[in-house]
Amino acid sequence: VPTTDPVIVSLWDVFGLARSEFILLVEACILFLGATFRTVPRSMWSGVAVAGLFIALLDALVLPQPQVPLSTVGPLLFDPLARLSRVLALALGVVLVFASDTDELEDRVAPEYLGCLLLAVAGMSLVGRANDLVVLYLALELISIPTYVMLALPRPDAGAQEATVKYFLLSVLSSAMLLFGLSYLYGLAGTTNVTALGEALVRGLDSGGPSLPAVTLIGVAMVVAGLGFKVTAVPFHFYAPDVYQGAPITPVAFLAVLPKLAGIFALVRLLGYTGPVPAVQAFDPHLMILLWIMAAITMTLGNVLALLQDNLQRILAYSSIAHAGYMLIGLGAATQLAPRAATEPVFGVEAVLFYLIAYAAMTLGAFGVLQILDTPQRRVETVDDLAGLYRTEPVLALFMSLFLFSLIGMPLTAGFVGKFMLFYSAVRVSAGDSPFGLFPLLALLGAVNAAVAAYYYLRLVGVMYFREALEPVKPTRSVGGWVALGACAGLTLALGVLPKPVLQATRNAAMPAPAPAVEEVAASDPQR
Amino acid sequence: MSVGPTLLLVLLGLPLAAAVAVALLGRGRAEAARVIALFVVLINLGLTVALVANAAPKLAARELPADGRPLSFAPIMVPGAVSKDPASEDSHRTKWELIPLDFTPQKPGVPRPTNAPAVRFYLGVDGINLWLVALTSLLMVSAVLASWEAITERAHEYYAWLLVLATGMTGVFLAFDIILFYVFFELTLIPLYFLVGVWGGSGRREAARKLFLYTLAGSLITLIGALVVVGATASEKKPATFEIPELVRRVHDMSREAHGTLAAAEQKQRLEAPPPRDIDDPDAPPPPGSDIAQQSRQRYHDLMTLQAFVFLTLCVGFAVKVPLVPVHTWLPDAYAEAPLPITFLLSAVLAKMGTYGILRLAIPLAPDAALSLGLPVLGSLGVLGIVYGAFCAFGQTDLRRLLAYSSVSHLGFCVLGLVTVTVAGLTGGLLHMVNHGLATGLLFLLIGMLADRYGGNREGPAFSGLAAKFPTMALLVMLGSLASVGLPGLNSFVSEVLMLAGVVASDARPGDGRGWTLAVGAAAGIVLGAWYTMTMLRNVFFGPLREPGGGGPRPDLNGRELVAALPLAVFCVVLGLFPTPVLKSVERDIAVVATPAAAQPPAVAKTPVP
Repeated sequence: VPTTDPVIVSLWDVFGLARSEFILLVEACILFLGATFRTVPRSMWSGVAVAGLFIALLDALVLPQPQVPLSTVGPLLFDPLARLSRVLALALGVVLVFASDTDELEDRVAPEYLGCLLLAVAGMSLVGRANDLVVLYLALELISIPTYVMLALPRPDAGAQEATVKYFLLSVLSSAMLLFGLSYLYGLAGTTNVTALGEALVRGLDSGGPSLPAVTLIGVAMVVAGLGFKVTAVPFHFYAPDVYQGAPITPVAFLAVLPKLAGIFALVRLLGYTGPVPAVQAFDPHLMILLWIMAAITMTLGNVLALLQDNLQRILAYSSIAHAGYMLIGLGAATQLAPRAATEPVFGVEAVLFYLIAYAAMTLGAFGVLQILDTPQRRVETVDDLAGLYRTEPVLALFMSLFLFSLIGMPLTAGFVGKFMLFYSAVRVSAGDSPFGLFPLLALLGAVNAAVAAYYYLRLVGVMYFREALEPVKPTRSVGGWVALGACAGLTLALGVLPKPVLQATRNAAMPAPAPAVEEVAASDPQR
Repeated sequence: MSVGPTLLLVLLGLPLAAAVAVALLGRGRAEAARVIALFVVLINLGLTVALVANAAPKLAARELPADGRPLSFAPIMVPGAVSKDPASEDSHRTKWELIPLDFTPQKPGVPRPTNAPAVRFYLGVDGINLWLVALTSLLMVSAVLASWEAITERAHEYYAWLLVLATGMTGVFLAFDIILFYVFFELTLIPLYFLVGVWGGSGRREAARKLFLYTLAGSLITLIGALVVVGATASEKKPATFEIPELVRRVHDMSREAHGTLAAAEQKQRLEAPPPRDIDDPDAPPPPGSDIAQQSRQRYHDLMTLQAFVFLTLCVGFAVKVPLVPVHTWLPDAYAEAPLPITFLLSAVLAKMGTYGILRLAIPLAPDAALSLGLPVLGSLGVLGIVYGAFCAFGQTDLRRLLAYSSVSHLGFCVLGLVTVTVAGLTGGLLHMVNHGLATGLLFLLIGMLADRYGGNREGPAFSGLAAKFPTMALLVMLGSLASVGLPGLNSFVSEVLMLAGVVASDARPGDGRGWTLAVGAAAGIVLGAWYTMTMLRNVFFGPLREPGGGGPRPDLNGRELVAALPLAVFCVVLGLFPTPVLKSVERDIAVVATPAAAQPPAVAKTPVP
């Protein structure tokens, strides 16, 4: 196994560390160049993109990866969390490429769209692996910038343009906030390395120094705000309903999943849940309270506002906001449980990671159904447009019900296992005898929210099965769309019935890295 | 090798497999669908008979420990049992994991510890659930027969959902893992939603949605209660467990310990207390030992708060399912709009899931809170339900709504019996679940058959003197009515007397003095029940013959209908005359639930077995 020098001196070393991602970048360049050939059909470009993703997956899973001996200096990590984020990004990329096989995407724009998609996938993979503030920021931008293009590309009409501009402006604002927060953290610790930064903060507390200065809190709050935009946490959610409604479904499905996953991975990394010394301790209890409040408001507002919607894409937008709230429960609980993660069967972070995967499967599935149903001849935009779907498209109706029941959190679906894990981690925060801790109450609020959410999800099921259609739907022919749908449905069921492999993977990924022995550190530290 | 575990698995799996097969039949094969469904429920009934024959003697033969306090539930016939030896404690536990939560790598050759935290596929039979499983299997046959001609549209789907529902209901009763229980509890909702929403009456969509949302909201809160118990009983030494028997054991240990240390500390403080000081002197040192007493008092207080939280959250979901009065508003709609066989199952089986949950989970997992909050909160709501339900029933003209409200009344009684946490009350409550299922189930079936003969008309005032026209039906309705009123010799009498005895016995507990008021309310409810039931019976079946839509030849019960209704009637009589086998088999498990109240005089437990 090749090892790189602990101190990266040249770009070439970085290349070795990010081989899979570079494969995607090359692939994206091929697609951008290919866009000049106007006669090649869409399916061929999809094939090229999928091939590239599979090569990257092969590289990530089979070939030996270089080792970083010291996590306090390398810019990119190879820990289990990094591996999970990479495999997840690539697998998600495959599904998203298949899901892009719709008539919304003309042959003319398909290669550019797919190229941007691959860039974003590379960005998400890098976010999960980033160990440096600058790399993390750049990786997040590698997701954001292609997203602007993807939103505007398929349909050059006023609605899509408005959505793109809205997303662009708010995204830039959030990037600025994130940068601001990162600069404070850098100023405090004197290093851009995330692992070292976390350790410095915790050690600073341990050595009996005064509690961290208030600027730490400003830094952390800004980081959470900047990433809160990506995960559509309230109050940074305002763009979601408008963008989801205005933009074409294909990029919206992408937008609902990939940036959100990346945002959560970035939070897990930056707030230091998984470092050798869980840095979350340093921010206690302010971070816990911040996440508690955000979780409570995000899920409640998301669910309550979803009740008022009639547009399907708006419903799914608010639903995705609400689900972000559930995930924040886990992150909040983990601020307390991470230091004793080894003895807790569920300590929050793995619950969040599991929920991410479940969320990706069920949300992509729900969007996938709409994508197949919605055609220019017969729009499927509002709840009433789904009426009587059971008669005309029984299989699609069945799939949609599966995803909706999973979003509600019914047993035997991914959503149930995810909620079970999240709520259990919350309940464990007060390990004492009194149940009136903050987090058990949050779990109770989450349960009430899940019941509220059931109202609008169930409304869709009821419309599909209990009412008659006024006008039959005319679904598009989309082989790729069906493949993606099948994959999502399979995953939604598999995670609900046999969650063990994924649970194990998320648990491994979430476990804090073992602290390196002191001598080893001393020996490999070039400064000594 | 015992066949018990396999029996349980087939009992659960067969309807589910058949449901998939029936759903795949496609449209236009209604005949095949219902034949398959009937075949499956009959096989299940046969299996259940084998189960009862096998399990009941074993359950009845169990000895109570010398002090009369068994530690926890001990289900038998557990599939995937840790130990095959029936004498071993481990034969009551399973090693089948559903959601494993522990991924510590094992050394090669070392087996995975059987107490690793995991949600398990933990099924089993004990005295409490055996009879409810039997009730479910029996009533499923009636439900399929009652659907025979009533359901023609999308029949394959209907029977598929019905069979899924059968799996869900059986699973709720068989589950011994708290999360598995919840899974089955929720899983019954999906089939119910479609069964009511597609095949119901004119207001079916609203009714289906209400039913789903009310129950889901309640049960999600129940889930949090369950998770709080699991979280609070887990520690580094005792990894988290989701097994109900183990949870009960831990909760009872905690409760006993808290009571013990508190009593010891107070005793010590009293002995060592210095002579009385000037209480106005704030600077005087506190008496020795007071901080220990203070601590144990604090811990005791915390534990009681925890239990109160657990008890109330667990009960929310069960109260909706029963339903108890303030959360019953989904019921009249659902009962009136659902297709008849589903109304029948809702009242006869599904409502029992709520009372079963109170008996299996809420009381044992919060024993002290059950004593302090049970009667004042749930008991009062129960009595409110008894009286309110009876008056509402009296005011209904729609016969099905009348029966729906009478269910509210009867099940309020059932809850009242359970929350007395006395041996008599618990036994009576459990027995009443079965009895109410039989008696009210019978009435729902017959009223449905009556309505079928008049194009769905079930307005009470439209009918009169039908006994002359349908003598067999009238006879069975009368039997069902008398059984539900509690006539001695019929089944409900036994359970109602036991429950009343339990309510009165709870008065004997120190600190409890309200039992008799509740008993008076409950007894008044019985009188009111007799009033509206007999009024209905007189108006509809006796007096001069009057029928809507003019006379004309209408047949009495046919063979199929008789087969659906007769077994219920027979069991109403059998359980009224010979309740002892049931009472005997539940003795040990009821003792687990009643443990904290074990101090009462044993005479109470034995009183009114006719």
